[in-house]
Amino acid sequence: MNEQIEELLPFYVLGALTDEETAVVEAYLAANPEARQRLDALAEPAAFLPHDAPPITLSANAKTQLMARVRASKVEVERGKTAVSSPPSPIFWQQLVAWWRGLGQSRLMPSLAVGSMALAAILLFWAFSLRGQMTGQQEKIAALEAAVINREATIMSLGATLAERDALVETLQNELAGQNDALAALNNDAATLQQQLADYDTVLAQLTQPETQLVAINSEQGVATGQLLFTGEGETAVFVLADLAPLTEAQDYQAWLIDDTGAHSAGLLTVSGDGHAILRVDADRAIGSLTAVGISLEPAGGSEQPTTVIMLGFLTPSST
Amino acid sequence: MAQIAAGDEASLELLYDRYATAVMGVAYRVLQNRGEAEDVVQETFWRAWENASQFQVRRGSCKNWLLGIGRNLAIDTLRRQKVRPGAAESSDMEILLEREPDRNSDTAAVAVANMTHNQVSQAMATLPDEQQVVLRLAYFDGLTRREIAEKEAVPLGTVHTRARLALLKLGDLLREQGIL
Repeated sequence: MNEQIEELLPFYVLGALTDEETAVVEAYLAANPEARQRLDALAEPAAFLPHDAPPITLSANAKTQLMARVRASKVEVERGKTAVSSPPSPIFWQQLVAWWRGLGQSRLMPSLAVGSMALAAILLFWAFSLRGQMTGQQEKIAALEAAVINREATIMSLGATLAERDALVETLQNELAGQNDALAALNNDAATLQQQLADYDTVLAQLTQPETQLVAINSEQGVATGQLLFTGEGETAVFVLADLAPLTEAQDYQAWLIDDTGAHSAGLLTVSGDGHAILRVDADRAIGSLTAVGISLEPAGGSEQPTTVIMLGFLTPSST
Repeated sequence: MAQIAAGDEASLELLYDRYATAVMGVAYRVLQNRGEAEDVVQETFWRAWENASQFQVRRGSCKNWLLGIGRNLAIDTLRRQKVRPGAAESSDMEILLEREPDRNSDTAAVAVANMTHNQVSQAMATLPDEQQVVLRLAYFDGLTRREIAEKEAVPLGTVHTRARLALLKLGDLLREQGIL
């Protein structure tokens, strides 16, 4: 008993040996009938190992394809048989026999026989030659088929890689678009903050002037409050307003300078998210000469004259 | 098998209805891909059709012959995939949705196959874990004894011992259950 080869027997029955190992085991079994009995003791339970896997129902399509393949192969075989063994018709056969008998009585028979043998030899040689060529062609076809299969596998592999790249590019583009949106939002916030800072600077500049006066601008109905900052002889004033109600897209707040001749637009207010607005006004007359200032609610873009006044502040006589 | 060797399609269909689910079970266990496993089953029965005259009763049952062909084809496919990874992957869910189940399977044969599976898997579960692993790596994963030793990080001799003991013990258990 060869211990080393005996150790291979379990793997032989499990189908897990290399080709070389399998050849060694089979030679050993052929030379040692008693080893065959030991092999059987291992092979019997091994034959049940496939049942460790649960049975699985197949698709109906699998059987259909198999049977179609079987039928196609049968048709092919039948065609081959017909081509090889199709017998000549009886009439043709009888004519051939009569011709041959007539030929046998002819004086040309010996030379015809020699000629036929030569022709047969040539045909035989030609047949071998064709067979050799056909084998060569079949090998070339097999090689080409293998090359095509390899190409197809490569194309499939490249296709998969390309699809992964495309998916990655799309993901990155989406991320980039999201970051651009976030950046735009940040830029808007920064612009708003800069505007607010400029407004506060304006107010601060006005407040630091010694002659600065304040006039309250009161709301007619709502909770908004405001102040007008100006110097009596100066032509510059600043509206400072708070708690303004939010506007729709179709509305604007408009500031007005009012004197004896009527109301004159001082511009539209830019209202922050928390309802604050600051507006610097450069008038063409002394602010102290005005009778009042006001804030109105107008259609988007403003109006020639105030339509819905919501806040008013009176300058004379107390404010000058 | 003699009738199949004589070209009787109906006999092949009968054989298919009786054993295809068991062959499919093995092929799927090896390949873990339903589409590829079905291809293996089809090729298994095609080879049975082509080589039915070579089948020898004294060398084992027809069922074991088919299961052996199916297992070897599946392992060959698995090894080709290892050489060329990713070449034949497919979505099992897509295949499940595309394919209509075969309702012509031999119900009695499927029931017997399920019962045998239960008995064999119970017997396998009785074996020590390390012995089960060796049998499954060799049979279903197609690993050689050296590859198993490397994967399990144990000496080659240990793998030899585990495989031999596992098979002998499995034989005893199957005899106790009366199926061997």
